[in-house]
Amino acid sequence: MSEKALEGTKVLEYASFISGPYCSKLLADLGAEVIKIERTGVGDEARRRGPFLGDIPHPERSGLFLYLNTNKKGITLDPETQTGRKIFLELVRWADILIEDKPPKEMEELGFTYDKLKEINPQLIMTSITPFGQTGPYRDYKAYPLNVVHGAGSGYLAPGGSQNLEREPVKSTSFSDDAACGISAAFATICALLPRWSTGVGQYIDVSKQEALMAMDQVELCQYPNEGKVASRKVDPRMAIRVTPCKDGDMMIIAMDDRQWKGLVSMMDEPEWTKDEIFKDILSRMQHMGEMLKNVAPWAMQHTRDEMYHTGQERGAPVAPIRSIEEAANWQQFKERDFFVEIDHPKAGRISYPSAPYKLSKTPWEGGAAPLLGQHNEEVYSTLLGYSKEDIVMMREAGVI
Amino acid sequence: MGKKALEGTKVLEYASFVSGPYCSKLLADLGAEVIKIERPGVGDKARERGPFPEDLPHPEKSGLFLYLNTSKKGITLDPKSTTGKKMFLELVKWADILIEDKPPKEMEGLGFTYEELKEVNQQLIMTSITPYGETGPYRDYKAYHLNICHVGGLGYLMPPNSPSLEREPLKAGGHSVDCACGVNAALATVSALYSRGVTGEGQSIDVSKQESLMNLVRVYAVAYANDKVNPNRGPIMGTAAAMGGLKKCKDGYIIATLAERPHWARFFKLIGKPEWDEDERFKDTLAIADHYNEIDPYISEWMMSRTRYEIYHQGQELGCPIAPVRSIDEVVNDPQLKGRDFFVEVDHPEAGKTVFPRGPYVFSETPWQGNPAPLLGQHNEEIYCQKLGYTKEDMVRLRESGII
Repeated sequence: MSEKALEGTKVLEYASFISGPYCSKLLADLGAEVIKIERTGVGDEARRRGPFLGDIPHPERSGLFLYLNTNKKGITLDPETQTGRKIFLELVRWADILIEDKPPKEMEELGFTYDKLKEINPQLIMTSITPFGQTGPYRDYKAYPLNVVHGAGSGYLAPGGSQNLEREPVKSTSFSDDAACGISAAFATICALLPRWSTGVGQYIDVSKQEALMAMDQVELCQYPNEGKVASRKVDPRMAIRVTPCKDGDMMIIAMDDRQWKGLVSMMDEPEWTKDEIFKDILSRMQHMGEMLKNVAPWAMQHTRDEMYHTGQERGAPVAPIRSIEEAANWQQFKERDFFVEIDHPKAGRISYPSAPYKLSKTPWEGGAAPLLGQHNEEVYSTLLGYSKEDIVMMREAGVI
Repeated sequence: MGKKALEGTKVLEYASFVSGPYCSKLLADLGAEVIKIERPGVGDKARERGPFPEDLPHPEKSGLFLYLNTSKKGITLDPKSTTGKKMFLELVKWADILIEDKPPKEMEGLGFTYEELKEVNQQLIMTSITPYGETGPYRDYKAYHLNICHVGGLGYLMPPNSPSLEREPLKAGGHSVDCACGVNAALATVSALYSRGVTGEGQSIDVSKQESLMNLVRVYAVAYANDKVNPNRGPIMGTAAAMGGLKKCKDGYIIATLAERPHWARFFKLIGKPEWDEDERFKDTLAIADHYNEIDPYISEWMMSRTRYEIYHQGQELGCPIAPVRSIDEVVNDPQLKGRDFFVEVDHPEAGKTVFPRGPYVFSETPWQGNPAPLLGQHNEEIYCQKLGYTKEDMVRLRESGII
């Protein structure tokens, strides 16, 4: 068998940039048929963002767009025109799932609320991804990934383990937080798909990006509503985890509990200083972190990251090298697991992408290229919806598609 | 309707700490029946980790454990004993889904590979979450959250837009990387469940935490794999450097994301310089980047004389994507989250009433639920006696020999 897990599932995507497109990419890569609606002439905002292949900006060569839209069919449509609106509703009738990320007000003005769309497709599952959710006083506020990160308090917690609070807060790298919202939305969407089988009932899913981030920062967050304690990025003096410079870079060294400490001591060939009373148990080691680090530092400088990593694994000391992206991408583990896959794209050529972080034994993940702007207009409008070639020319000229 | 989305789905969890438990929590909160196996006497590692109320460590009061294990049933079992192994297999027979996070070698040693378990349960879906995956030369390497963060290259990229590379790399706050991996695993698991509904076939899912992280850092990873450009946390050039970052104001920081030229027009209006919109020096975003230094002193001064919320609300009124950098207390007291009932109260027999975030999604028909995490071994009797048919005497014996 090599059917895809979500084969036969029909998804309409009316979203752009990261969260929404990543959500439907996850479904598309597992076999769902995804039709992506892009703005006529312009396309998804991600097409204008790098990194571009060879650093040459081109809407068909944005790494961001190419990655977030694998395996989808792409059409152009302007649902704000009358004809566009009619076509949008025809696509809603076709779909099992609608994934959208528009401001709530905009969807209401277009007449695309769940209640109205349900009249056309009673079994529809509609997943709305917005910065702050569909309800509450901030529902209409705008936000980019950065705004959400700091609005959710995540930025305030980073860098975790900062020496003092004067150091300014940071955001997580890349668009990882927005991508994480996309995964939450995809998970919820499939969970709505499952009961539809037995009940035949579709439903509406309101995903808030801010909440998605907060659901992942859990521990720090729970302290406040329960105890009024405000977690911050300031280092916990007891944290026995530090970045330590070594011969060829930086090393993460963890020596929290007794087992980890023994592993570290064994790695360093049991030097005299480790036998001092002050290092005898975890509490005492925490109190004397400074001395411990002072003693570890010269030893670390004599060893490379790989040496320490491999010996550490043998002796049970959880130490890890800090890797650059280059080192991470070239890592033997990824090569042997074929984590990076090459996909051909008509404009961008053959380029490599990370595959999924899960390998399903029966229904494999599949990587197909992202669509060119409007690539599947004819297939969708003529074959699926029954418009004639003349209709398509007319609609193109009117800027509807 | 009121039914839960995953009602009737049976999940066996043989996992601890963050990723695995978070994965099955997501399923449990949507209605799946999750039985969590913990080590007799000791329990999940998360029980030893804080935050604890009043900072007093107690295995039934760890905030981390309580959050990651809502809506589950908890039993104790040592599958390494002969009887324990037999009981484990009985539970596998009962389950639709097994979620586990043990080192591949350990599962092989116990005779719990997917091939072996499939003989017990033909339709089983087995989701294995490991640091580096079930294959490849590093499959048996151990790793904590932090190790993954740095080996995955994420730490090296942080903090982004650092003024200099000399500044040390960072990790992300909380356990967010491990949680993200749990969400990935949950997504793959429900996809396999959906597929099983069509084909009747179960399957195994091999989830690598490392790969999960690489998927989130994707743009950078792709840049290297294709162009051999090695991104780092150094300064970002161009417009982003001009205004893509933090600005200090009267009572903290605000963050403005002026990605497109129209944002700048609104921003100029906000700071009382609408005429700059017509200025040749600022005709497009590239020009703004070139001339940003000339207006930075004015902008800084303007910011420093206003509070975050003044700037936030005025900015949003004008359509400017601006946000305050907030601390956790401000976030929790946020009228938006209050208005959406994002925090729910859970009553736990030991920890008392605690408040947790609910799921980040609101379903119109099949609601999310948040029931308290189980005490260590709380559901032993229910599961062993009522589900598997052991007698009370068996239970005493099993407990005394440390099997449960």
